[in-house]
Amino acid sequence: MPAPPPRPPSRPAVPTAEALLLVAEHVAARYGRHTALHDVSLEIRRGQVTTLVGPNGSGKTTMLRVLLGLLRPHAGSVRAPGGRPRIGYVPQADRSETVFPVSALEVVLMGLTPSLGWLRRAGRAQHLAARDALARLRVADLAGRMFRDLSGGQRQRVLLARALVAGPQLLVLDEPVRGLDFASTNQLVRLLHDLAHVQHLGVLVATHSLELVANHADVVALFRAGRCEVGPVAAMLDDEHLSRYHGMPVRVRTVEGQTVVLPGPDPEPEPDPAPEPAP
Amino acid sequence: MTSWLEGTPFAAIPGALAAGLVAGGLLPLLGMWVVLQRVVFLGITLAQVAAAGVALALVLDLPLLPFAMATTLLVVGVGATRRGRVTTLGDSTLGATFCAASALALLFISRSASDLDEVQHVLHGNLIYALPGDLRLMGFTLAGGVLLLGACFKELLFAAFDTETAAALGLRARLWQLLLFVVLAVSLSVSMRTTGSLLCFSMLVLPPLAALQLGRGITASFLLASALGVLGTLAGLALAVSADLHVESSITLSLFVLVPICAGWRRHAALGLLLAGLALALGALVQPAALPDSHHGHQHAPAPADTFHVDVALTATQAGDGALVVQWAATVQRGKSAEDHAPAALWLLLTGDGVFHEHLLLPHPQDLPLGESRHAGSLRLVAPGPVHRLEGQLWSGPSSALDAAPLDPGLAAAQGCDVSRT
Repeated sequence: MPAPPPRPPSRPAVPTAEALLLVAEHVAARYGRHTALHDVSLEIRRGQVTTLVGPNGSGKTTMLRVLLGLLRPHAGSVRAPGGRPRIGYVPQADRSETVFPVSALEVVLMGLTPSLGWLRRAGRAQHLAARDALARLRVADLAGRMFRDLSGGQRQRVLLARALVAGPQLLVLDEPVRGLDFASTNQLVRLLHDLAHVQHLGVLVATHSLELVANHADVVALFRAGRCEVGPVAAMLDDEHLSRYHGMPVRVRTVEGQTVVLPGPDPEPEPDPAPEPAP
Repeated sequence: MTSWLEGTPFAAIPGALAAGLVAGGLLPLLGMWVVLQRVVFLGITLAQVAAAGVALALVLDLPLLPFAMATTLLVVGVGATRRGRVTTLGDSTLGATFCAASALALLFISRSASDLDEVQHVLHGNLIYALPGDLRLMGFTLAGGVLLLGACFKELLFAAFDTETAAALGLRARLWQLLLFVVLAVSLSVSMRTTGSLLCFSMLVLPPLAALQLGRGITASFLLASALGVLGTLAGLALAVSADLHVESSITLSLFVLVPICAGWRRHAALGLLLAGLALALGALVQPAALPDSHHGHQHAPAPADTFHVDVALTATQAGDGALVVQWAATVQRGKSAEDHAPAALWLLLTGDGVFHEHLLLPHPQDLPLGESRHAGSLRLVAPGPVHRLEGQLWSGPSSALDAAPLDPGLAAAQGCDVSRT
């Protein structure tokens, strides 16, 4: 088996104590009698893209729900050393509501609801912030359009604008590239990269896209049957780990500087052509 | 109060008009949340639970409204709280509750000692009989519910639109939803008494469904739902009066017709207009059933001696508080044989100056002795205003005058009477 490809030099991490946003320690979680997570420990830091990867039913969505505070762990704990961070959350776009007659701007304004408080309505400042968030994602022209009339990629950007409008310290995304076309996927992963490494947000992504993980993540948590192995992408994303976690041969290769993940074993080298007989 | 209604189809039913407008204008504002949250089944289940509560209160001789409200709130409380966490009622749970509530309502009614007439009114409501006190209570309750939910509009909207994200951002999404369910439970319990469960549920769901076809904005959709509720109510009342139809069913059909009209309009304005024109044409084609002229009952030819015949004389007095006491005296003539076509039940329908009241006069005329017999009784009702004259009609029917047939005026007649004051 050939050696794993060399990765580009790792981006400088943010090693300070303030950079630690969430710490999950020995977390176990259950749905009824079914234990979905066993003894999982994970740290989420500012300035890093942390990814949760694994097959369906492996526990990554459960872990996401535990970290978001939507599911109380059965054992272990989730701490926020610097106080609970402001969270921006982007659910899967294909689960979003299409009955509501709300505009894209109204959807973005929802992100400010918790900070506004009861009985206070969004004013001029909030509307400006919402329009600014849409502009950052280059969809300012969608502000007045009905959310239900938008395409999947446009909805994803509007939901991302909603997550960013309140100035989150931690951005959490569930399957952000599912259903997106090539160009939209490329733009989105570049944006996540900038948010983490330029604006120093913590970015936590649950995804099936190994290319996203390989090329843009700093830390990966590989989930399988409710258990998890965490490490830097450079150390974790190799043939051996991925083959073990997916239960099938997987190869990690570099093509023109981009890491690609291929299924199956290396093809057998073609035999040298037989020497032509001498005349 | 009713002078401005003179010349309109609503002049004879000012109470029903007021009750219809209050319910038609306010219930859709609550119903928008029901439709948007996709908990439509919750609406009809709560209405049915309230009906079962009313029926049980009739059996136990308890105050109807508090008991219906307590029963409905109990179901919301038990159903919404599972394993210590507030959660949304599942469709299957609601389905099971609906079945049980429907069956219990019927069982309780069969055990009730109350007059069937009273049970029908209390359980199924009737806009025509809307009493001023009930109307005020419904108006204040619905307005309060709408204002409360309006104050929490942005929280409810976020929690309904994306519960998980709202919770992740620190909003207590499930508690806001529980508030909505409680407001719905109280509002439906109160409204059901005046509107009945069918109309209550229709007003809750149909105008929002129509409005969502057209709404271009969340606030506009809420206002449109309310406007469509009022429009459908007016159209239904006008149809009921002009064609002499059942009021609640007419309003429900009018509200229903708005849904395809709005859906057509969404595709193309011309299609919406075409559907609206069709609906109007169909409404105009509905003719009133031929009613016997009972005002001059004694001018008909005498009945053959071997057929059933009944004459009813009325006297009425009205007190200052609007209470109307009607005394009736019936002379029944059975034929020479038991096969004299005596009806299964004899109903008296009283009308005049905003009064529209049905009363079970004789439950089993077929059991009366052959020959002549005399019967008398009284009833008390609350009129929406001063009543100067009452007219009576006699109907036969198995259960209710509203699904019965008028008796031949040559065989059955009720004399009208002027109303005296006390």
